[in-house]
Amino acid sequence: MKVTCRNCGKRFDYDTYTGLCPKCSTYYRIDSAYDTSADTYDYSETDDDLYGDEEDDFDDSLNSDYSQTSNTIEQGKTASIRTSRQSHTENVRSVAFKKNRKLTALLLVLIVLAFIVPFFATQYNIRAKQKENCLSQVIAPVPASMGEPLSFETEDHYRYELTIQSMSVVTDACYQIPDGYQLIGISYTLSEPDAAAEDIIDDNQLSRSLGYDDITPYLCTQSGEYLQPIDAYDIAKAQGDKDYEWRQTTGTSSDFEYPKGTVYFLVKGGDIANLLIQHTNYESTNLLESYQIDQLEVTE
Amino acid sequence: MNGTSVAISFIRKIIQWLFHKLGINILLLIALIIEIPCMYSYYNEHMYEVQMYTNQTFQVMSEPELVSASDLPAGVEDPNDDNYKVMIQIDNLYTKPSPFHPSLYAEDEDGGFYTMQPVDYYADIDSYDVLSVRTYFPAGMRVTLPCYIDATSAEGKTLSFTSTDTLYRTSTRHTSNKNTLTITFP
Repeated sequence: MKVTCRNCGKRFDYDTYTGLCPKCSTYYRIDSAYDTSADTYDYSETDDDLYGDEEDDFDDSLNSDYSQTSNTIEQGKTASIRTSRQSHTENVRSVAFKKNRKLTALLLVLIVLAFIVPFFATQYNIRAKQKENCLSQVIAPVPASMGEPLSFETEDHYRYELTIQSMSVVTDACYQIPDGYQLIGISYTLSEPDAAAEDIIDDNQLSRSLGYDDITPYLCTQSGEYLQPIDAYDIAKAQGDKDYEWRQTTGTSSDFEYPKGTVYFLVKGGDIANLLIQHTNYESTNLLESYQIDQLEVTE
Repeated sequence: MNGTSVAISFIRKIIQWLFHKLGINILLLIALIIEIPCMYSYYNEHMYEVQMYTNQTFQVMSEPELVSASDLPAGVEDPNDDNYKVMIQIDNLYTKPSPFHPSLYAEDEDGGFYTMQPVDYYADIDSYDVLSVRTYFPAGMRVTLPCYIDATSAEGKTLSFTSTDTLYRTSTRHTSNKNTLTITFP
């Protein structure tokens, strides 16, 4: 018996394929109401095995006695139509499930990838970054002296020149310096040899700010410690809650970042050994230049 | 009907529509939507940890020297007992400065726990709060600092110290076994 698949429209022999569409594998229910328009319904060709348990009684009654009353046939047809509707609904769900199965697989793959890719990318990047940033041995800073211009070049080849002008003991009472300690102010100038004359700003600002580049001083003590510069906010606060403009005008900072400025250190009396100046880029985490000034003259 | 109820109704309809269209896959979709920012956060956190990573190596520069309690500098962990002083050379083999010195710890066979770390330069002015002061460890530099350990507990023992230079308690990334220091205390 030739039938037409209601899912994909493929015409196939029902008996050869035992009701399964060879194209889309949808099961063809022989008792569907739609059958009548496409195929002749022949009870004699019907295989009882094709029906579920609920339909067995109905099929048996049809096959065993054709001379039953019309009332019985009507009941059978009604049951057949009801069964076919259920069958159609199941087919629709089956198709929907097959379509969803592809989506399910896709989503599962995406979930797994979303876990695996960042994990391995992180591991790879961490190792690469560590390898890149590790040094094989300690560095030897370039010897320098006070008053000598020290050259610093950024990764995009823009140059700055730093000159340590003087070191002096700061005695302002506002800092309440503890006994045995000294507050040391280091005055410096920072110039831009590459800057055009019209770009120079008079307001104690660099025409091109250092950005991710840091030129940082560390005061090394006789006991071997490296001291961090005092934060500019602390200096400004001790001076009476001075604002940013005051810090800029006076060049108060914890890095070398103004054309004229001062950085401060709190150190034990007579404990100064040398001044280390390092240029690092915080974006690329590269150590670019290091200078060490051994001969430091501190004025009272 | 106020704005909230309209919004709730709208969201409910969207969820119903999605559930109708996607079925059980809506749960997977939600899982994926949650997972992507979580993994991004995981990635960022670990890359931040790398930025703070330090690569410090240690070397013992002197034999342990017994220092009586009266001669100990300020900032020693056990100031009331005699301490052993050991000079440790620390190399910061990294291109970034480190804001802290390492703390060394050891565990003996009986489960005893020992720590040893350089004394803070500003330990004697702990109460000073006008200016924030701290030491720093510049990139690529070497320092040799005295470390102190309680003599009573360490006496006659051979201890293997490793660095506890970790940012997070659960992180093992910063604990480097290559920096093990074995010290025999008389």
